[in-house]
Amino acid sequence: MVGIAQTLIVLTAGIDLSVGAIMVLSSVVMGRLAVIAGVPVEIAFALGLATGAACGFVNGTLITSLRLPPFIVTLGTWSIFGALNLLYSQSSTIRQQEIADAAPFLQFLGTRVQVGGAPVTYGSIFMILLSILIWYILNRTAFGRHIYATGDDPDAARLAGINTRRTLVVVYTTAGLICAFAGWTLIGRIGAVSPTAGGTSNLDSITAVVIGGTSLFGGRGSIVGTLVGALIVGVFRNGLALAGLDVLWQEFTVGVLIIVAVTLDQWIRRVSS
Amino acid sequence: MSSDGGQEPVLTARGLIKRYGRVTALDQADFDLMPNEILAVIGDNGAGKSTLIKALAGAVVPDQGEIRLGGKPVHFRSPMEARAAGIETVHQSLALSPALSIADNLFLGRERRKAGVLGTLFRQLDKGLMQREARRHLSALGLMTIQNINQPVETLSGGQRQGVAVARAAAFGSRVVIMDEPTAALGVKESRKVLELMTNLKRRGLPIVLISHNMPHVFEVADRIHVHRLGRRIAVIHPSQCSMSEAVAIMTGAIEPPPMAAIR
Repeated sequence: MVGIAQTLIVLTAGIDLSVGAIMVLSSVVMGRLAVIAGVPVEIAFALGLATGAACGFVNGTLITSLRLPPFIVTLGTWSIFGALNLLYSQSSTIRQQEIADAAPFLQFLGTRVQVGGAPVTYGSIFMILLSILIWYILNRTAFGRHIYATGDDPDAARLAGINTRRTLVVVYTTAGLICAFAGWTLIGRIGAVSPTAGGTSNLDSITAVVIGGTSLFGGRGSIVGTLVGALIVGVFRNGLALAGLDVLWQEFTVGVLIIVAVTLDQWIRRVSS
Repeated sequence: MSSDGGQEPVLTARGLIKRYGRVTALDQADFDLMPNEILAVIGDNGAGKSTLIKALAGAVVPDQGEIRLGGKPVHFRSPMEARAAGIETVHQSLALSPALSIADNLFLGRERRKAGVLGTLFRQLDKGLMQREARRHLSALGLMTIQNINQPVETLSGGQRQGVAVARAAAFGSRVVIMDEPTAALGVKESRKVLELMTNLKRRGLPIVLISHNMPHVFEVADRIHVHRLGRRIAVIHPSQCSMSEAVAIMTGAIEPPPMAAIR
């Protein structure tokens, strides 16, 4: 899910290193407000989403107004959001039972339903719906075209009359919001709210985007690619785990997979064009 | 007031001044574009011709002076305003997005949405309409050697890309098309095609401002030549009454320009 947010950003020729931090911070805000501060769960949830969007907005605004590379800005905000998260949560986890008693809604996405005999969580269904929505925006709306154009050649996009700064701010804000939703999914998945969860999601999201064939130079790629990319990595990891391979060797092979996949992709593109 | 049968000029500028710090890029520059003509603007590097063109296209706001479009004073604060008024520019860089399709590029920044709820609420693009329109605009300019309107622009040759950029300007430019060095990056054959395209546009009633360093091209298509030097217009010459070497000499200051009254 964080991969979807990352795809949007990479399409604009940017990169967001703070996605994981935004996700966790949002989930912590939702959890602490609802469980510890006793705020009604709807409001806590909405504030969590607002936190994510606000973080994204900060990223987008810093990138466009200070004209800094996204890599630098989000490297900074990664630390900032991460520190805010630990300060606010006092590094303490909210346990599964506490959430189930005070705000079961936060765990809603972890609920399993039977779809055609297979157990599927609402979280998975939610992610598929979100992917369809983002696909629609990218391919069927003017704003989607503007995202591609901005990433492809910002000068050309500007000359064609696109407000590239606004496009970037909206993209980063949307990505932040998606990360907040990912935080909600995270609560569903692990049941608890942990300020140290999702530590690898930054790099995982970039891996999924890259294996999915989206160019880090912007303007080329798709949501479907990222989903397939995430699926490849997931299936690969699962398969290796089932085969009983050591976790460290799993990491090792995923690394090899990235390099091989991207090399193949580049080679296929060169040959076909 | 003019030699072109007393027609009113489409686009004029009087006394434009633009300073960048201590550099004066435009020093009381004048400009006149008549209907139905190709006006070439030539000038040495640093003569201020690109600042002049930017002022006309809205990319630069002059410190002083007046620009009139169709007789009415206009004050463009951005390229978008100039475009809205009917002045389209084909930039030297073409301003095309390589990964997007020809149709997407033609409508970039001015996309058409579907009618009804799909368009207003779901903001869905009318891709079919845009593809049909794009095909129509390209064939109107004799550019339909391009088979697939959905192929990415990066798969096209330099001349074809130029064609797409020109088609975009022609499709939306209702008053004036400004072309900045359209043949600079092209081969002999492709340049020929672009020059044909320009006369084609002129025949359809669109006046063109051509900025170029290529004297043979300028002398081939231009009806009049605006010579820019040291931030102002120093001469307007007719290609039929002047040789290329004379034009270059005027441009570089080697010979005195003919008095303005004689040529206008």
